Amino acid sequence: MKKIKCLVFMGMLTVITLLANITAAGACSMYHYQPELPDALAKKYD
Amino acid sequence: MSNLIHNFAHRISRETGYKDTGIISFGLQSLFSLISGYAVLGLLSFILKVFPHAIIAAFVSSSLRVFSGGSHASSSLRCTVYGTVMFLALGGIAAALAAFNSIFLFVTLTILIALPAMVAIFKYGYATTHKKPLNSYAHGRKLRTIAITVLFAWLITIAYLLYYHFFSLSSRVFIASILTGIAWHTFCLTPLGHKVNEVADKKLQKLRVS
Repeated sequence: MKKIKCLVFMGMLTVITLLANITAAGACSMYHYQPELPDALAKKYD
Repeated sequence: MSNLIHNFAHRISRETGYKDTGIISFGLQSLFSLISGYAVLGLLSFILKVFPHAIIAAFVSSSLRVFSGGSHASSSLRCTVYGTVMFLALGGIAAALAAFNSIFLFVTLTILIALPAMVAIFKYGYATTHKKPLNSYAHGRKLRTIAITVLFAWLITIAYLLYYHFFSLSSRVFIASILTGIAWHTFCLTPLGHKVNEVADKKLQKLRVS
């Protein structure tokens, strides 16, 4: 059960960080709202 | 909502050992904005019988927005409200346009929309926003080139449908929706689009849409 939970969270983290990187690398977010870019991503795509 | 996202980001960080909660929060906010935007738009457009029109227009506009930027709402909810209202209206326009089966009208509209779109992307593309400075010129140029490529991909799709499948209603729905999506994105790039967005944002703030 613990292993499945860990896998689910890992999967979520993968999707979330992928989307964060796509949004950060692009000029704008996909819908209308642009959340504030975190420093780590701002430095990476500067 | 931001507290919920923040707490969930910490939970994911704790469970996975990934330390940067800022990136997780940012990803979650983007994901939430994307899902809520399309879910609300999908539901309302289905009720108003403009489902394919509104969704295609939103998708086309988003595909260009990712690479060339555009005007912004100041909160996630205001973004969802403003985006939904606009794309429902665009869906209605696309539905009305698709009823015409004059190839001349569609070719003229394609030219009238494609040319300003190209100019707008060249002139205002990769616009720096207050929350996301694009400091690198080379990165911005790369994004602009991708935006132009995406625009051409949509135009080629329109040309193909105009040439081979114009007399099918679903093709005309597709063409009209792509055109309205491109037109809206072009408008969002211009200073007038930014101004209209700002006014709408202030109106929504007055209506206490947080």
